[in-house]
Amino acid sequence: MAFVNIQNLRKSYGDVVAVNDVSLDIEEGEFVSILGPSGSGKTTMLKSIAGFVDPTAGSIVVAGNEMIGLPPEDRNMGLVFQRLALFPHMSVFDNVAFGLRHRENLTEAEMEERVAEILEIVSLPGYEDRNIQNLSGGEQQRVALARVLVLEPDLLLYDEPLSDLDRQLREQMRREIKDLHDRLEITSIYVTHNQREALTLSDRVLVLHEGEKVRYAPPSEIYQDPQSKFVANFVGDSNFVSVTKGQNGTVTFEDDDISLPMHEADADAPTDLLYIRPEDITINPSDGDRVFSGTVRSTVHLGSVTEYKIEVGGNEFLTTDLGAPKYTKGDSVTVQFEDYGLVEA
Amino acid sequence: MGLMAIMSVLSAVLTGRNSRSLSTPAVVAGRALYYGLLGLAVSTLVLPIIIVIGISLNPTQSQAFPPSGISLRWYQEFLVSPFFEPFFFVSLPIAIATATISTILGILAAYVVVRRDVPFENEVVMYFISPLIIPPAIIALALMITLNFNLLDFVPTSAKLVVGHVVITIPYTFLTAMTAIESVDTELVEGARNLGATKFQAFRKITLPLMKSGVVSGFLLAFILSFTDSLVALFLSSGSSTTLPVEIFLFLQYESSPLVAATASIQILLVLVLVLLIGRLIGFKAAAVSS
Ligand SMILES: Nc1ncnc2c1ncn2[C@@H]1O[C@H](COP(=O)(O)OP(=O)(O)OP(=O)(O)O)[C@@H](O)[C@H]1O
Ligand SMILES: [Mg+2]
Repeated sequence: MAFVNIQNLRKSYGDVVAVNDVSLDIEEGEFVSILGPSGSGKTTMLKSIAGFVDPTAGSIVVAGNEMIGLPPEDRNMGLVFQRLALFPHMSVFDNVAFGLRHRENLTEAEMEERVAEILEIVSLPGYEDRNIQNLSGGEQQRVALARVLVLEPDLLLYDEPLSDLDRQLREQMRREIKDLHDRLEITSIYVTHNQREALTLSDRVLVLHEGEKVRYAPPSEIYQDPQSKFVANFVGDSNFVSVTKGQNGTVTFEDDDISLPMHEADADAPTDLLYIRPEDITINPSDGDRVFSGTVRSTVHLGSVTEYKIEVGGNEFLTTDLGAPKYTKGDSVTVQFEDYGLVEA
Repeated sequence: MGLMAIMSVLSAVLTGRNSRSLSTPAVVAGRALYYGLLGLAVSTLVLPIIIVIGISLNPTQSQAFPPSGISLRWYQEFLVSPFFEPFFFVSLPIAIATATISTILGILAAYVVVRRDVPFENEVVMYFISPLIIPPAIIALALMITLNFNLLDFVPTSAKLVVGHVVITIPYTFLTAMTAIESVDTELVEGARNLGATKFQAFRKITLPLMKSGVVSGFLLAFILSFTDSLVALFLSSGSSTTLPVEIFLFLQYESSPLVAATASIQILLVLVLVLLIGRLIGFKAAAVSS
C-alpha cells in the first residue's frame, strides 16, 4: 500500500458536497499538490487529513495507520496555515518548541539544541528570542515551517502558505520549500490555486473541481495532455476552438476552412474541442506548414514578453513572444500552429 | 459600567485627535456634537466624583461644596466608623469571591457556546444574559425568597450574597468572555493541536492567554458591580453580613456627614488602584496582540 492512501473521501455540509469521493495514493517522499479554484474542496480535504474536519465517509491511511477517528494531536502531521497561525504571545523559541514540549520528552538543553538546529535549517539562526510580531513576512513564514519541521512529521500539509506574500517573496519561498523538500524528503501535500506553484513544486498534481478529482498525474503529463478544457484552462492560458473531425485524420475549425492534421493520440478522442497554447503559436515563421494569415488585434507589453491577440479566420488567438513588441494593432502577419491537442469540453 | 464609559470616552478623545482638520460645515457640526457629548460625559461621570471628593475634605459636619476647608478628619473617622468593618470584612471579600466565581463560570459557559457545537445555543446565551433583562428588584426578591428558604439556613449570609452577586454579574463576565474567545483565531487552536496539544492544553496555552484582557475586564466589572450593589444586598443582608452600600443606606436615613463622602472616596480610590494595578500586571494591550 502507498504511504498515504485515501479512499473515497467524502465530506458534505448539508446539501453542499465539499469533497466528493476522492481517492488518492501518495508514495513516501512524494510532493503532491492539490490544485483547484476557490471552493473546490482543497482546504476541506487537507483539514480532513489533519483531523480538523470529520469526513462524512472514506478512509485515510498514513504509514499503515487509519487516521479517521484519531484526534489531530495524535496524527504526526505538520500543518502550515495560509495565515501561518503563529502564536503571537510567544517568542520564536516558544513557537518552535511548542510541539517538542507536547510530543517529545526532552530536557530543556536538548530542546534548545533541536530548536537551534531547525532554525539553522530554515536560515533563521539565533532568532530564538525574537518576538513574532517584529518578524518580516518571510521570517514568519520560516518560523511556521520550523515549527512543524522540528517534529519530523510523517506528512507535511500546506494550505496555500504563500498566497499572502508579495510576488517576489513568494517566488523565493517557493524555491525554499522545494529545497527543503529535496533535502528532508518529507512526504508533502501542498494546497494551492496557483498552477505555477503546483506545476513547479510537485511530483504529482491532483486537480479538483467542485469537490471531484478531475486529474491526478505528474505536472508534465497534465501540461502536455490536459484531457479536459477545465484542466487545460487551469494549468495555463489556452486558446480553444470548436472543430469538426474529418475522415482523413484532420480537424477543421468550425467557422473556417482551416484544417490541421490530427495527432495520432487524438484519433479516437471523444471530443470536438481543440486547444492551442499561446507559446505554441509562432508569428511570422520563416517556413513550414500549418501556417495561416491573420491580423494583430492587440499588443500588451509584459516586461520580458509581449502578448498578442491575433485574429485568424473567425477566431482570436492569444500568443506570447519574447522581447519588446514587434507588431502593432492592424498589422498583417502569418501564424504557425506548432502544437495543439484535443480536450474534453 | 462607569469604567467602560470612561474608557470609551478616553478612546474617543484619542481617535478624535487623529482626525484630519478639515472644516466643512458638516465637520464643524460633527465636532461641536462630539465636544458637546464629551462635555456631557465628563460632567455626568467625572463631576460627581470631584464633588464627592470635595465634600469629603470638609473640616466640619457640613457637606459643603466647594469644601469650607481642607482636612482629612473624615478619613480618620472612617477608621472607627460603622463603615470600616462592612467595607473590608464584608463587601471586599464578597466582591473578590463574586468576581472570581463569576469570571470562571462566564469563561466556561462562553467557551462551550462559542467553541463547541451544542444544542440550544441561543437559549443558553439568553439564559446567561437574562439577569440583564429582568428588573433588578425582581431578581433581588426572587433571590431573597429562594435563598432564605429554611432548608438553606445553614448557608452563611455572606455565601448567599456571593450567589446573588454571581447571578447579577454573570451576564457581564459571560459576554466579555464570549467576545474575547471569539477574538482568538480558531486556526491558532488548530495550530496548537496539530503540534500535539490536547483540546484542554490548547485552551490553557493559547486561548486563555490571548483572551486575557477580556477576562480581566470581566473580572473588574463583576468586582465593581458586586462592590457597589445595594439592591440585592438590601434584600439578602442580615446581622453581621451587612455590606457597605447597605450600611451607608441605613446610615443616611438618620444622619448626614462628610463621612459618607469620605467612604465613597476610599471606594473610588480602591477601584482605581485595582484597575491600574491589574492593568499594569496583566496589560490591557494583550488582546490587541492577537490581531
Ligand atoms: N464549515 C463549513 N460549513 C459549510 N460549508 C462549508 C464549510 N467549509 C467549507 N464549506 C464549503 O465547502 C466547499 C469547499 O470549501 P473549501 O474551503 O474546502 O474550498 P477551497 O478549495 O479550500 O477554497 P479556497 O481556495 O477559497 O480556500 C465550499 O463550497 C464551501 O462553501
Ligand atoms: Mg482553502
